[in-house]
Amino acid sequence: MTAAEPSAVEWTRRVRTGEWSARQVTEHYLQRIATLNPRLNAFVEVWAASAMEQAQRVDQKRAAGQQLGPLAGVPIGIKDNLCVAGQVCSAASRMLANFRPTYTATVCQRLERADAVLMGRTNMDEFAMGSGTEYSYYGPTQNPHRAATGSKAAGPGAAGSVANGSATEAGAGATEGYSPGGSSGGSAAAVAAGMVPLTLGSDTGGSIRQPAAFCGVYGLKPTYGRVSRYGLLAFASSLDQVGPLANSPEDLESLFRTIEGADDYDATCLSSAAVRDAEEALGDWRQRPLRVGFVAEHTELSLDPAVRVAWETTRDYLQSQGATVTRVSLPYQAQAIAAYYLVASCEAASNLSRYDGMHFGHRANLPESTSLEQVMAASRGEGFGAEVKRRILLGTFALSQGYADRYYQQALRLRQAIRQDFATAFQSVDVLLGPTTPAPAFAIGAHRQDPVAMYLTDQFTVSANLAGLPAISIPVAASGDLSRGLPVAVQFHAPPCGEPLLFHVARLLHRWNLSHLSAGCAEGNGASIKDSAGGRS
Amino acid sequence: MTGTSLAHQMIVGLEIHVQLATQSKLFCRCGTAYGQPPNTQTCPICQGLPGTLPMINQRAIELAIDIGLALDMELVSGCRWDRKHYFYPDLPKGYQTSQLDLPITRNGRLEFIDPTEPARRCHVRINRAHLEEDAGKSLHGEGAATGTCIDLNRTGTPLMEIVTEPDLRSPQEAKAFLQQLRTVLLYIGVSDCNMQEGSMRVDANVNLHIAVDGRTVATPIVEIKNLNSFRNVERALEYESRRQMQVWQENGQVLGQRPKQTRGWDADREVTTVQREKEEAADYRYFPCPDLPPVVISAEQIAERRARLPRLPQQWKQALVERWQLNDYDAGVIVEQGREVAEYFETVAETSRDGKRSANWITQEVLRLLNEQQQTIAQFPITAARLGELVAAVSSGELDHARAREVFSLWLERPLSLAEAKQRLGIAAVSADEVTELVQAIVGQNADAIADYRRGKQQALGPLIAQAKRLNANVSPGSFRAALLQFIAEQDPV
Ligand SMILES: [Zn+2]
Repeated sequence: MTAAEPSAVEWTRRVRTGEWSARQVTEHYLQRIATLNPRLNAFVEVWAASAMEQAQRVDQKRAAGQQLGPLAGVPIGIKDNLCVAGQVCSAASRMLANFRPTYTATVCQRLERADAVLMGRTNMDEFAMGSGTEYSYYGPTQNPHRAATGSKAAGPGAAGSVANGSATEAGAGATEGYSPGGSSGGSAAAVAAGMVPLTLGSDTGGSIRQPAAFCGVYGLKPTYGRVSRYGLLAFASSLDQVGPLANSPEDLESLFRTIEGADDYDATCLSSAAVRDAEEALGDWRQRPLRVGFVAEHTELSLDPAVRVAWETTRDYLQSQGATVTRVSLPYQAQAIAAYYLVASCEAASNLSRYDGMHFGHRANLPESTSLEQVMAASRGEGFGAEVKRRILLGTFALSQGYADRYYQQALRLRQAIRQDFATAFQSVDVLLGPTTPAPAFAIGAHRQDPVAMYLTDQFTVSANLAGLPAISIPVAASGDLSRGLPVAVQFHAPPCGEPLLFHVARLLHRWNLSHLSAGCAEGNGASIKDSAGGRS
Repeated sequence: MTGTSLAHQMIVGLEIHVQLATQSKLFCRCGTAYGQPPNTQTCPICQGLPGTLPMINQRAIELAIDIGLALDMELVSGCRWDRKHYFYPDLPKGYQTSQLDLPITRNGRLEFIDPTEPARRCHVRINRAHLEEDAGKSLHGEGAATGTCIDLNRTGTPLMEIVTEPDLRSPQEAKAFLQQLRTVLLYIGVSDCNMQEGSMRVDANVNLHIAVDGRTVATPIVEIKNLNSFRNVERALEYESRRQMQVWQENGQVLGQRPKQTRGWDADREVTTVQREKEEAADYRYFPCPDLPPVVISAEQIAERRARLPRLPQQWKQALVERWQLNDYDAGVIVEQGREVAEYFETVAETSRDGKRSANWITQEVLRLLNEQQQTIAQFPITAARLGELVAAVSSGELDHARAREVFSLWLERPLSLAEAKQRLGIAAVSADEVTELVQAIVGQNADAIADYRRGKQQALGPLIAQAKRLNANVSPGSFRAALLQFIAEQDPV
């Protein structure tokens, strides 16, 4: 994290004590966003007026001697697929560019109740389908660690204006900058650049963890059912979870505690009794040395050297701290990507069928005489981007009569096998350690010609979603030479409701990062923005 | 239509959509009242707004269990929800949440009386009954609007779709089955089954088995959609039977040679018309709804619903026969009128302790009036307790039938007590002395009639009884006749 920016926990302390007013904090961050966003395009809309009103209410509450919520006065960025009544929520799609929901998502209600300040909506891949925040109606977001050197055209419709150069080499990518990952790339970039202390993202196959890894921040995908999905524009209902991104384990946990918990409006939410039972099933891990597993199959894969070194040094460090490290096997891991893309696309095809131009969303401008079917087809054709269409087609095909057994049912069987793999592994270990991504951030446009290559960047993250498990991405300060100055990260999986285990590991590694490699980490964070900015002027 | 009809058998299976009598919708908390202004009973969930999720109305589950119990069905714990996809403006989510592979109930049966042979009972196997949400309504050029408007008030209303096996063999049987089904559903209170308001809708699958040269050929199956009255079901099936015979005679096409056709019933022209051929039908791409966990039905819940389940029509009928000694026919007539009439009967019988006479009053007087006035029993001015009192007075001989009918007529006008009504009508008890005086007076004036009687002409006493009634309206014909006979016997010149 940047040394200059205090943590969310610290901001709340200052607001409570009166050192800063919530309005001052909000103004401070609005200023940072105004400065940084034109280059990074992390926010697609800033809610300056409503944010100042919320901050004022917090100050009034304090003045009136009322108890303040746990995130009092902390500015938060909201991924553009979470509903806040009266604000546009577009999922970065032309389809919903003018959609203003009439209700507020449960997680956003909980933030408001915790006295947080909602600052605006962050950029993402359209309908959360993508791994680079490139497939956005508002144009790509830049990775703060290596942003584009030229001035960028951002804003609605910018996606089409990005030069379609062959940017496969790291060097060539420099002109377009590096990707913050996706789909929650706006949220990860905003936290990494210190535009807000906290953001919410959503994770269907790695959409929180992968951008957290690319941007060098902490990102948590909670256990399926721990956080309400009510008000999250659905991508793949059985995989989607809302989760936090932050610069420290403490901030990450405090945001998680604010948003988690049972919700009558989401039938797939776990009851508090179910969470208690699952937590009890974790055993007395606090009383004994941590048992860390690493996945045998991962050792055979071709990983970027920076990622491999980060993963191995993390393992060695934990061992040096008294953890026992064992090798476990997840034999179905190799099939996870295939199962994931089938399940996710089938659910997406179904969830996105409501966007037909009839009740909400983009409607094609056609003569009155046009048939209903033509209006619907044209509205969908114009409203959705290419990647969304690709997934809808894949899902529609896989669910078609005669094919559902061969594809969808087969994917469900694989999903069950993957779940079983994890259950077996967690009989002997508390957490599983592995890489978050095969390599550090890629250059924007690197995968433009090859969507499957882009899909493969999710190969380590999708299985947590398929199995419904909690998983965290933790930045590891790696050797700057190996990673070419880009952040690298490791990922931990835990059994259902094992979030406390993940926070515990994150705190351990955070201290290690700070003590051993803080210099390199700080350089990889805020400093690079100034470097690039300097290069431009 | 022309053409001679060969020996054939009609094969009919029905799909009945019944709107459940819940206060709120299946997946949100909006109300379900009929006839509200368009789009006033909607919320983000039933509007299908992006990001919303369904939550299950437990009351709908309870009513579905009740239907399962009443139709003798297997209840499926862990039943699943599936999405059925199609694009239509009145379907805001682009899919309907229904149940495909694991419906909440399956494998039941319902008995009913053969309409052509009342002594015989038929039964129909019920394949399944599953829960699903209703769609909205398209309003074409209604009100001030031009073009088409959508009303989402009905969207998300809980429906139970009841699917029979193809066990029905005639339009009359189909109608009798539907009437019995409706009676059962009304008794257990799961739906108001109001066909005009669309809370009961019927689709019929029909074809013919035709005997040709010692073997049987089947005509292609046709589905007739959205029949909104029992009469329309009967007439549409009659028409379709003739039509299929004629088409078969023209082109000889049999089952399998042509895809299933969907037809609609045009009640004005009294014909069925093609809506679509199934080969162009949508592939609904059913898949399990990931937003809803399976519905777990515990043995305790089933036991609780069973204990609370209102008596079924057949149980009522049996009770009326056994407890009140009604004949099958009268018991059937009362039960068919619905639970309120059966309960009305029960109170009348309890009060009067005379089941047969109570049944006569209700079937001959009360039901006739209800029918004439187009009233329900709840609107009928004479309460069951009061009618019971009247029946008791007749049974005990306190009132004769004619005077009782006068009281009954008076009660239709004003709610008096029995005593008040009797006073108003000048009904008073007649003493033994008064009867004796009356006998003496009448015998004195009718020596010829007495003589006729003595010669064995029993009917000679009839006019004397009528004469006595004219002289004193309160005298009961029975007691006068007894006194007269006694008088004649005593006077008998042996
Ligand atoms: Zn509603």
